Amino acid sequence: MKMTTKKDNKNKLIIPAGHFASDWFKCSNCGYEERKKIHPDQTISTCSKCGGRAYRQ
Amino acid sequence: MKCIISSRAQVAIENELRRFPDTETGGLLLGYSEPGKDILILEATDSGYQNVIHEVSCFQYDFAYEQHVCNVLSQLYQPELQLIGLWHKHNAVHDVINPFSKADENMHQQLMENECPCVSILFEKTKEPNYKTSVYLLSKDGNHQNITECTVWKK
Repeated sequence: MKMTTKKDNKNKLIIPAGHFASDWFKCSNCGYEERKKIHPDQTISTCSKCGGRAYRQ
Repeated sequence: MKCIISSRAQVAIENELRRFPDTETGGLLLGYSEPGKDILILEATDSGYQNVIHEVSCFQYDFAYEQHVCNVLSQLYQPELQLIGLWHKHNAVHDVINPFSKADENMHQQLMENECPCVSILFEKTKEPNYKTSVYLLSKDGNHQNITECTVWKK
């Protein structure tokens, strides 16, 4: 069976580097939930409904 | 085309989900995958134990651990297993066409540099200990195909 596998020059599998993060933010003031595709390192955003602080969920 | 997941891979995933009921977690998937043929997932990794981040909305596996364990597992088989996917968990269900975040898609893009069809399995927490499970065949343009209905979970 012929398979293709990407390996580095040391014949090791190449593993994705990075992290997973939710795009959903929930407002601590009004509870509104919305999706914002912003930088994964940003954990706080401004609620588009009330202007309060929304935290990544 | 079917996606077949071994019982061993399934148990590995279930164990990891039980370890982290309240935070995100995940791992990598190893098996065999060729265009036009069934995808066979034989092994699933956990997230590791050092240099790992488990938060409610964010997760990062132990890269060195994954590098090591994936290569060890791959070489237990003949032919060697390919890196054909990843899996992870969200702590809520959102009824959207593409549930993956920008960060998730960054991981997908790297995975798809492997020259084989790749999958992403997503577990969205409904009511503990239950999850809504979705399986996607990844596409470089981001229009991933939901193949949940043609996924077989071997018991």
